[in-house]
Amino acid sequence: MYSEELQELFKRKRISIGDSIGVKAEGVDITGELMPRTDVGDADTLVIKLSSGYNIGISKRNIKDVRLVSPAAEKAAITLAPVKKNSKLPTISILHTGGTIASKVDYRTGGVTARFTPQEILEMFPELREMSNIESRLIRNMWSEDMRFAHYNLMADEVEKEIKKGVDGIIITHGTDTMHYSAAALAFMLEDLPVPVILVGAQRSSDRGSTDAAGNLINATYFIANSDFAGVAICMHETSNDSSCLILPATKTRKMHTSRRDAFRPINTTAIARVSYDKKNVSFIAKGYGKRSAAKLKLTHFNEKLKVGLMKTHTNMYASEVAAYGDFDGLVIEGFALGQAPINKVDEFTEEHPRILAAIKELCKKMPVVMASQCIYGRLQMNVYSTARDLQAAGVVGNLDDMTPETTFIKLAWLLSNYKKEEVAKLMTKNLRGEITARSDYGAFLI
Amino acid sequence: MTNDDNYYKKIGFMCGLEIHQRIDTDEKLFCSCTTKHEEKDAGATVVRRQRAVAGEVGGIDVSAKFEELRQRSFLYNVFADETCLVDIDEEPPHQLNSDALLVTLSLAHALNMRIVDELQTMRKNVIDGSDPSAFQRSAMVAIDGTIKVNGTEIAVPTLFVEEESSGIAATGQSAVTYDTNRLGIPLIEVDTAPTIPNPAMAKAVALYLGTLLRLTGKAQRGIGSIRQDTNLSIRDGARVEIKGMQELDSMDKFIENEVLRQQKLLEIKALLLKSKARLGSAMDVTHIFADTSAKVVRDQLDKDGTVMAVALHSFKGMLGFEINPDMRLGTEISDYAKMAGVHGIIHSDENMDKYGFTKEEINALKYKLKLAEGDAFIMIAGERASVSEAMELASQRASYAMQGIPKETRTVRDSVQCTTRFMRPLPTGSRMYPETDVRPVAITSEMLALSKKMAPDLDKEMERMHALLKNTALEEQLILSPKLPLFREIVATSHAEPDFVAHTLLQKFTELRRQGVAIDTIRKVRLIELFDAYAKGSVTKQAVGELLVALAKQDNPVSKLAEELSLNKITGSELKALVEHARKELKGAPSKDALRERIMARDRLRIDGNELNALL
Repeated sequence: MYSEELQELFKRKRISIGDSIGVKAEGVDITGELMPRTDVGDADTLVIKLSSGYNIGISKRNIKDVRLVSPAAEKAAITLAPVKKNSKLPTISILHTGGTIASKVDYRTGGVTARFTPQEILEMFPELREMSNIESRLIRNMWSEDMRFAHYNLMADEVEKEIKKGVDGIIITHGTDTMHYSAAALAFMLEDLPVPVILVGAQRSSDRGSTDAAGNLINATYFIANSDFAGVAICMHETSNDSSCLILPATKTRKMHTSRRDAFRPINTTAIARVSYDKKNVSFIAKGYGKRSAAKLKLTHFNEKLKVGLMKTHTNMYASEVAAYGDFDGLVIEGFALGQAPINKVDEFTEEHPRILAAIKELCKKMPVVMASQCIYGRLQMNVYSTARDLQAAGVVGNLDDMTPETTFIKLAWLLSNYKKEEVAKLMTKNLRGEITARSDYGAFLI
Repeated sequence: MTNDDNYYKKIGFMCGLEIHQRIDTDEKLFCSCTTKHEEKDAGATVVRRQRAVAGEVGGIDVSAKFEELRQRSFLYNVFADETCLVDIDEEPPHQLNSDALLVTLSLAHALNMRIVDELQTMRKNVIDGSDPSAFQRSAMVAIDGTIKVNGTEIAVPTLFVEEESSGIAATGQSAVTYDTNRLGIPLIEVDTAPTIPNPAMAKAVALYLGTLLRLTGKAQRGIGSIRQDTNLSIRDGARVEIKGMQELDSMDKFIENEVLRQQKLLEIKALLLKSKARLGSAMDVTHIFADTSAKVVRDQLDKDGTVMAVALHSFKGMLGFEINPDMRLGTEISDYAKMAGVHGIIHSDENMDKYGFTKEEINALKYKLKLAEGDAFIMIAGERASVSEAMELASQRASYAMQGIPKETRTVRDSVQCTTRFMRPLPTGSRMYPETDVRPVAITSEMLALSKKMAPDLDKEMERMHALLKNTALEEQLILSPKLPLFREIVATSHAEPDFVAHTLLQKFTELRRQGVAIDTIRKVRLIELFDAYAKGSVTKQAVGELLVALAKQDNPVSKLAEELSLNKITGSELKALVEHARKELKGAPSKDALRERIMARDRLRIDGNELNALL
């Protein structure tokens, strides 16, 4: 946004964003299009797009005169030709929720906030239509960091609607930051899924020629059209190459890199399948997977009012940090390694620690408190050290789980939404949707 | 003709330059990789696809779309220290390198430009794959400058700091491999207005700007570190950009040839319009050549390929019309077809017997295409998928011959004949959008003051050189030479006389280069060692030339080479002993000249003449 003073000036001169304006300033006399001011940079500097396409900034303090040359030209509306259905191809619904995959720079409003319409996405990736009849709609337009339980309910309801319509598969486009949370949530909510529900994101926005959105969407579509898989999964790049994607298990996947396109990795397990549209190939990696059936979908929801926390242990911790969760309905402790927390008084410096144990004990009286490991990889074993034994004695559950902290969090919230408190603790350590493996595979580390 | 301004005015000659110079900063423009560009072996390679996307103003760039048509995969070589995730589009850019910005600002002062108050980094779409992100980051630093070259004022409207692209490592039919270590090195781009009056001036302006860039002291050296692209057109012609001219010397010749090419294409256009030329529709003619023994088609059919042909009515003689030395309209059309991955075209202005086609085959083809007298045809053989695409491109180009000259980016075809070939359509203006991952940079008064102090100054440099060198003829030559920074460094570190260093770097180097000595491969440290050895008196002036030849062959310490080649200077008591020895050998009382001759005949390269004279 421009400063109030500049906005006042524009108003006086009847200038709007996008208009062609003339600017006379110290040592310069230029004509160009007035660009919006993004949230960074100096609000007192005009951003002008020159005919070369370059933007330059001219500071208000140097400006002698600004005048309107011509108002912005009306943008011609893009009309998209209606698509004919091909009865030989499967029908896939794409439900858009926003995120980088749908983002582009909007130079009228500034920043990467505007989104592509579903139609535009189809225009951009014509390969999708060659493989399937695509139905596409926007169910929400948001960054994934803003997701709440209510959004999980919304997505699951929309999935149910599509399944009732009889589609052969569903793709949900999603921001990548919390895509693994959503995948886990949907896996718990959608029991006995008769078709695939594939979450797809992008690490590079779709307005770039190098976007990974193309590969992820095209491969997800190819996978749905060419496999018998049913269930919830994530489809993202296998490596930094654009040549293949992995179909990843909804409850055992995590975003492991801030920016790489192969950021999503299977944790403590393997990917379900590898898919390559380039090679026209789907190969299953997982030994078993859910298959399409005539099963009837059982949909359960999240209680949107639930307060569930996720607390990471760290050194130099205080009991008040734990006590802050006093009015919550459940808590996941992302503890150290096999399931430890700082609860032992070992010397004069660790007097706070017994108070931490007391605070945890207090929470356990009110709510389920579940352990997960900040190691991410590996299994909890809370019988090895006395510290974890003490935590178990205090009421912390989760021993022998190998879930990611995020899946633990989602599972706890979903169980609390649908089961009695007594059952929750028991079910936390029972495998319901592939979230807990019984065996620790040698090959399932750092893949 | 070259400098005849009236002639060039009459033909509507418009010419401007785009000079790109790599800047020698420690780190790349948007990450902390080194700019050294020295690693030879890639540690990894990633494979990517790219797509055409809409620019900020909505339209899809023509050249971008064209590249997409080629359906290529791009392979990017990743280097351990010289490539990071930013370079391969796996991490957002860091902040713009402030050293690179300062150097660019210093040049803006020298070019009398208005510096922007706030720098806005843009993304410039590039879909030839040379950037893994499919765009190049570029920022306009200053506008509205002027320079005066040989008395003519030339406007310098724009100055940019931007990222260098990747270097091509290999080109295949369906994939191109790029080295990403060059990618992201800071680059200065200076553009002139299209008001350069003639080809010779273009060369002079390029030389002037190149010199100013070097005088910043921050210009990278080596092949490709500076590029002079030329934009030009004539009346009724079209804007064409010529890239890849390595030698400044032949720039004028390239420009003259482009003028000629446009003139000839306009002649062809007039002739085609007069004869009401038109194109037929392309058709598959594989069956006609099913039994052919013409190798160019046979080889393709044996690989399950196909042949397509199109009628060019009233085109006879036009395809073979020469437009530049060794170039015809047919060559131009062929260059377009090649973009689809075929070997080229066969056209009817060529000798069909040479290819080995039979009369029956050609007659059958003419019948099928319904050719009359005065008509021509184009034929393309190759892989099934490539041929139809190639035919579409070739037909488009042939058809354009009736409209005029396509706007193109062209590159060097033949560096001796100074001719060019089609590279891609000229990009349109719709390929720019803001780089939202980088904050705008406010240009502060501190930055302005500091960069002003650093600004290169040609006049001051001339004065400085005048004070340093005794030989005035070397002054200007040295300032305009790319060897200037090397000269400065050697003089500063070796204590050798400046005149000798300048003479060696300019004249001796040229002389040895002409003799085929790989003089430019000698590393800077060795040159410094060599001049140091000379300044300290361990080798003579005469031995320097021999040692340069030796250094060009093997990169060894100068002291070691001098030892091996017996080029260590003979001086002091050793020289005295030699004189005594010669006296004895010559007997009687030999003259000074006889003595000198005897001694120098054996050890000319090892003895300083003045020292010897003093002893005689």
